[in-house]
Amino acid sequence: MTANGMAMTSASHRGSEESHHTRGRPSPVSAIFNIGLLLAGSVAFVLAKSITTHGRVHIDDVEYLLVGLMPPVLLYGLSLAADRLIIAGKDSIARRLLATWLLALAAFCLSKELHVYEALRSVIEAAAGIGRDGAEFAMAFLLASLASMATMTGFVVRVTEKRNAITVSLAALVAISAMMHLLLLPR
Amino acid sequence: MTKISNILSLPLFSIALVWLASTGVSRADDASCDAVAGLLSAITAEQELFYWSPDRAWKAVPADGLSLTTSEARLIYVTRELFSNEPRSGAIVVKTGRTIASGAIDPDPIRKRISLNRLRQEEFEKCQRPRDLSSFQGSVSAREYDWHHDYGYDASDNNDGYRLTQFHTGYSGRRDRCKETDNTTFDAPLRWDWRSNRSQFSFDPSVVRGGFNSQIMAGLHFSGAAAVGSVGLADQRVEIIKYRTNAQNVACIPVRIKLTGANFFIRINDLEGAPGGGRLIRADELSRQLRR
Repeated sequence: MTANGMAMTSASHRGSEESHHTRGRPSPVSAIFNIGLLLAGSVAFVLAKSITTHGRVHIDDVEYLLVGLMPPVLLYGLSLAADRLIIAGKDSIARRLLATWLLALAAFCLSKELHVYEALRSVIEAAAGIGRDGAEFAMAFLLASLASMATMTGFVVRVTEKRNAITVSLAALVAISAMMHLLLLPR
Repeated sequence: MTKISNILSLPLFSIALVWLASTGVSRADDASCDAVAGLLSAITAEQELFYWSPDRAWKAVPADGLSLTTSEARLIYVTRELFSNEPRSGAIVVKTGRTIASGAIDPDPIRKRISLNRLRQEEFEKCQRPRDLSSFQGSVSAREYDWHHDYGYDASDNNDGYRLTQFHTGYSGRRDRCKETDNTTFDAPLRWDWRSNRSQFSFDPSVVRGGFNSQIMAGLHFSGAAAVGSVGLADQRVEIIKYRTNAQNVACIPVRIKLTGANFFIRINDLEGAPGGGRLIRADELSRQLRR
């Protein structure tokens, strides 16, 4: 390798470090947007929880709003881990994961509102021969998959580390399905 | 031996009669149609309610209500098939109760009970779901009932929720298709018709007319009980009766009710009833006041 080449590699490495460094500090607009997504995720969780508890939980139930912050915070943590695997901008990954959670909850609420959720769940129950609990998890996985397809497909196509991006997407998918199943169902 | 059988036959026949009367096998019958035959020709609507008047004649219950002197009323509900010429099966929901007078105490819906009844009707059992009981008699809290029928929430994982699931049943509908009384499929969302079989069981007339209340909007309320149809009502009772129209395209279903006080009402929803016309649209609720 020539001296010139060494200098270029070193410069590009510095640039990469810088970009990693600046990626650690999102712009104020981006931070506000992320916080907005976080809060929207919390509100969507309370609405979904209200539906599964037959209206016992309301929008002003602070404890549920706080519980609703947990999944987005966990997903934000996942995005920090993903940042080590994928060079795409941490903000971009965090935002996509939060949007996936939000969309999955919105799909849950809408499917309940339109009364297609129960019909689909019955079909899964009958077709797979599984109990109600298994069918509920399958529904959570289905809704999370739909949300994930909407938010992560373009991301996976665009980045160079496709295998890592797919791994992160699948990890998020499993995490979102599990959180929906564990947190939303009345127990 | 013959003597013994003769001795046994009379009590056995009596027991059988009592059993048949108590189980109410086949509620829709031609004898009821014969009783109101003279009145049917004057009726053009898809449904009508008749009562046995003190002057010993069947008369139509006026739309603005009826004053009765007795605490028990004999009624015949007639559903007429105007949409098709083929005889068909169906099921009606009979909801009764009374409006609590203003100033009187209205218990919280969690303390009120709604009586649920479904008699055995062997001839309609082909559409029963595998888990269906052949008949059901029980009660659930008004809150559980309203959540299930006003908002369309799943039946709760408790005794009341279990009873609601047992109360609802499969029945034979138009073209002999098996349907379910608690089905939540909307009638015609493209025509903005959000009604469903389950919403017809609601005691809230707006839910019966327009479909379930929004589950999302219920969550957006601040703390406090969401509005439910049983508020202001007492002595609520719900019964499911299956029927089949006869050769004249009518089914006549006898209903006997006990008036538990003033401001009594009866509301009947025919799950398969439809007014005439080009489109198959669910019939409206038939609602009548019965005053004492």
